[in-house]
Amino acid sequence: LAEIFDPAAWKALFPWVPLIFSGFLLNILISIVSMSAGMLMGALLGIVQSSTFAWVRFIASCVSLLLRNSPWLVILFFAMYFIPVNIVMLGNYIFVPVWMKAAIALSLPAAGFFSEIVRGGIAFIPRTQWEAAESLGFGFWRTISFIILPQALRRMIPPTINLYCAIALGTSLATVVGAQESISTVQIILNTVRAPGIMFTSYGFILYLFFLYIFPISLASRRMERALDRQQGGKG
Amino acid sequence: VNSISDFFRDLYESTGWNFSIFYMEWDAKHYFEGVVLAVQIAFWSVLGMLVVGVLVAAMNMSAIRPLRWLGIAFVEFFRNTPTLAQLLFLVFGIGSSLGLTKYGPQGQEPFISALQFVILALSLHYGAYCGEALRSGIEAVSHTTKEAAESLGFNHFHTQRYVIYPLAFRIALPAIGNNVIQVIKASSVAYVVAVPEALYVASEIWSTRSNVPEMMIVVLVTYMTMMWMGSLATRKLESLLAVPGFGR
Repeated sequence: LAEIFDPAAWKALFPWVPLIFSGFLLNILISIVSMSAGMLMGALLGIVQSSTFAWVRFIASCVSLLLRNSPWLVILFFAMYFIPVNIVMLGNYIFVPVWMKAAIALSLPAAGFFSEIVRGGIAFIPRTQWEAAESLGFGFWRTISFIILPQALRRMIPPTINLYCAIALGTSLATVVGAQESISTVQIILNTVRAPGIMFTSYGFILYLFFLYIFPISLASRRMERALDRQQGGKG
Repeated sequence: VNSISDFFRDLYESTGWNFSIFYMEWDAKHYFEGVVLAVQIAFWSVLGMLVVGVLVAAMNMSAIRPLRWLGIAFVEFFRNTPTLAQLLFLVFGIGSSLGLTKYGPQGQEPFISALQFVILALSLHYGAYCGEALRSGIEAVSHTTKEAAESLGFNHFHTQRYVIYPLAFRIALPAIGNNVIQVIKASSVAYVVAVPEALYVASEIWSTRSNVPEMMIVVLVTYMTMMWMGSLATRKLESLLAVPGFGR
């Protein structure tokens, strides 16, 4: 047991801390890229889910369900095997790095969950708003973009932040498919450094890093949620 | 059974779509074992999650302040770090360092196998979520109910055991059901520590038969089915446990 808390492990790990940090930066990069892409796709999917055509709604909700319910690891494998290494565009070969594939993969569940957030936000707006917009001669897309979404936006912020936290936690899975993120760097370190208790220390350090990054974000989201609730309570 | 296997063999011979698990005996057996293991992981993790959840909720609601702090720290730690990192930390950081995962000299089973660590990690991670769901369920039980129980002479433990928790569990059930789905989905991380569950077995099969797309579709369908069954089961449980006059 004493081996685990051996200060020698910390000493051995110390020179590698910058490497772990650079790996963690990749985690953050993946999370930001996949979250932005996921929000773009998810917003579209969410709006389509509120469409007035029943069959459009049905297809969109099936797609959303598929995206939300696939295990992330399986989606990552899909992306690894099916996105080509080079994409040919206008005669140029564009190299797709592994982390980019991971980001694309993670953007899919992000899109699924974000579409649900958008749908929930839209459903939260009273029906009368739609009717008022319709009586003013607004079409579906203009009602959505100028009347419904601006009002729904505030409600959507806390769950979106929660989703970002989940995606950021999910980026750790990218190690399985070979992106050089923080856990991969730790595995490299463990292959090079031999010191008692180094495994405990280095994996503990990863947990610590993630906690340090995610916890403040999730705290902020919770605070915002409570503020919104209070406002709503004041109104009603 | 023969016609199914003939169909998939024909499919392979005519189109090249190689769903080998449907007509090759070894693949079928192997994959079936993987699915069984995945179901086992999900089942035990859900049970573990409920146990951890009840403990955490009890800690978070307790009158003893240090216990409450411990509960909050537990929840925040497990909710804000990745499951994968927790699993690796448990298996390698704690398991390997303390020699818990070593096989004995005569090949005896390790003290805690990788499979058990996966179940432990999933139980702890989702137990934190489940604890939060239960806590909001407990908070949703009206104060008057508690007072009524007290006026009937229930002591603190009995009030919790017979009045508060049964109600809170029912209120929290939709949220818990959601967690059940998440557990099933997350059970695929067992792949990382080489537990031969569905995804791992599929990857073994697709690397020997080189039928990646087919096996991936099979894996996806497998997980979808598992999740569908999980959500059916929780929905069934909800309707079985529904308190008349509560909810919709």
